[in-house]
Amino acid sequence: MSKPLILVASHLLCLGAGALGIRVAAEKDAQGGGMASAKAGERVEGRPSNSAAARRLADEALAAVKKAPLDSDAVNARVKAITAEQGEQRVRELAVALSSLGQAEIDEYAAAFLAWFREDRLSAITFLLNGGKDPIKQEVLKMALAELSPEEGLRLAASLAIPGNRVQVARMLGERLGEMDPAAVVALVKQARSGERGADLLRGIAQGWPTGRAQRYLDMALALGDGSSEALKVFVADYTNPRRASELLVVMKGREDLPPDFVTFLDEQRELIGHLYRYANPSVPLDLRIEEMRNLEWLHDATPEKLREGALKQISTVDINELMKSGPDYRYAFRHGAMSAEEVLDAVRKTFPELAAASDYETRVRVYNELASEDALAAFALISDLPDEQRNLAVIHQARWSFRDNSPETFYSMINLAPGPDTADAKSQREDAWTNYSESAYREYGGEYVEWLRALPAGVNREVARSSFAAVMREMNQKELAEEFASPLKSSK
Amino acid sequence: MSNPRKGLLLFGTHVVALAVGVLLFRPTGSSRNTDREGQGTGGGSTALVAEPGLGHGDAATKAPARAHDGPASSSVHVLAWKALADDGLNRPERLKASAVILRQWIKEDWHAALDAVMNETPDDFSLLLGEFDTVFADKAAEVWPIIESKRYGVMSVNLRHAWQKRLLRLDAAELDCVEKQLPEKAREGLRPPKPNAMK
Repeated sequence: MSKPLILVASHLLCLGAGALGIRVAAEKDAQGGGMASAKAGERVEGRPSNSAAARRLADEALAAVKKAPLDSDAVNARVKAITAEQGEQRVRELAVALSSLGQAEIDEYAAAFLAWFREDRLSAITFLLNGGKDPIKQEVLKMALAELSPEEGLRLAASLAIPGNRVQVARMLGERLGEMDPAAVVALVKQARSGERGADLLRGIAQGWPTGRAQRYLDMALALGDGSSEALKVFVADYTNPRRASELLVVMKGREDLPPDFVTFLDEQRELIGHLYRYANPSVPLDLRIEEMRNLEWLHDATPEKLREGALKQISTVDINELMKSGPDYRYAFRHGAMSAEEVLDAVRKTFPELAAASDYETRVRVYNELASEDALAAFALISDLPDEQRNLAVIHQARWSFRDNSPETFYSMINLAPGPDTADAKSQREDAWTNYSESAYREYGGEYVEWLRALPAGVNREVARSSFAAVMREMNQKELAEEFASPLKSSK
Repeated sequence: MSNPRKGLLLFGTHVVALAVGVLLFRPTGSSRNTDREGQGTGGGSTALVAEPGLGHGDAATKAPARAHDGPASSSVHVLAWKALADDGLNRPERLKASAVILRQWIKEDWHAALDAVMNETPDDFSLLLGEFDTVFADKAAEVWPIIESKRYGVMSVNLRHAWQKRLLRLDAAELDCVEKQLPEKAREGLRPPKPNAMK
């Protein structure tokens, strides 16, 4: 080999050695540093051990969620060793800090309660019901009532001094009655109604009746004789659960054997009927819901097109909001990047195919409504292709009717997606949105909100936010703030 | 060139080659930074708060650096926290699962856990802040600077309310003891409110 070649080769060798050396050092550093980090608790995303540990932790959390709140075997094993007196004493001791008990203590509490309850039902249950609400208490109560026949349970409910407690216990029994043969239930309910506290028991039974069992309730109620009308009324007029109440309306449709005074009651309650169909279970045919929503005063004289438009707006709002509250947590998935806005929209379409077919626009805008408070910009993709005016109105309407408490930043990020200029309709909706928001934000955040408002960047939203806030402050007799925000800013920021 | 000088020159050029090798193939700073940003802990906790696209990210980006500058310890928790988004739980179930992760997270790094919770939406954090009851009571003087720094923007007010609510459940002697550790400003609201106090 010639001398120059040897020189080039030796220099390249050195360059390579430098590269190799630094790589080895870097790898050692990564390994050593990683261990050091691990010792300090620091982890690196994407490292298999890290992901596996995270998955294990998430699985533990899932298992805890799926686990029954009470270990009935453990509870029953303990009960045998406790006397009623010991049980009562322990229940009173543990009740003081019920919410902070660990699983073993919760099981102990349940066992102690059962020991007491088996000996003196009325005292035990009265203590439990009078001491404030707690999810554990509900579970313990359910376990105790499961030891009684429905008849015994209803007798116990009737013996409680406080009406609310009677309703609560009857509600838990109603859940069981709804699964029984209606003929057997009729006798129980007749007996329960016969006492002077029968109205409370009937209300509780109706409230506790399981979803999807409206036909059984109707059969049971119609067999009650002179109690039929009352039983139907308490079920239908349960505003706390319109979905279930609307099921009864659906199964009653076309029946000619309803009690006359109940028919009269329904004729007089058109607003209630419209309300129930608005909140009806999505399994109720959409066209029926729309048709029945004509019972609402504001839709009573609407043209068929306006009825459909107005009803679909409300039905889509109610159904999609309910899905977000009790269905898969799409908002969390969207918030944490597990689902895009379009993917959430697709999932909603699959859940409500009838609604999606009836109005893709309403479905899309309602999903935007739900997701905008999570990430306004990412949710905006759902409506960005709409015509300008329609899109601006959708944005402002959403900000105005958001179902949740939003931080000022979130509210601003939502409404600022409609930067103006506004039509007359948009202008008044924007003012209304800011007025409503300012009032609640000031009550929640006080001076911090005022400070935030002062720093808003220039634009149509700053103008409206300030003037709306000034109006709110005038209403609240906060003169200085009203004056400050009513005055135009001298220089735009 | 004489031999000693020639040798020195050759040595020098080989050293330069070695240095060039080191310089050319060193790991770049940016790739390290990428790794760290991916951790979502330590500095990453701040990154988590300031995560773009979240509804209240604006407030978070304005917030000062996190009060807690110790070693980050929560990336497993961050990953588990996010993993719940893939598990198809309904909201009540997911909140329960979040609370289970949170309980462990708080024991290991309550600052990072608090960042994670306050980075959720108000309807979430208003329910999850209850898990911090022990921290709020036992470390009241450490919580106050986080509130005062407005780390979570306007929503630091929500944190303050949750913290105060917990302290107001202490008995009089315990509350006295806590108040002694707090500056005057932090004590506002820890006694029955005066009429028309809000201005």
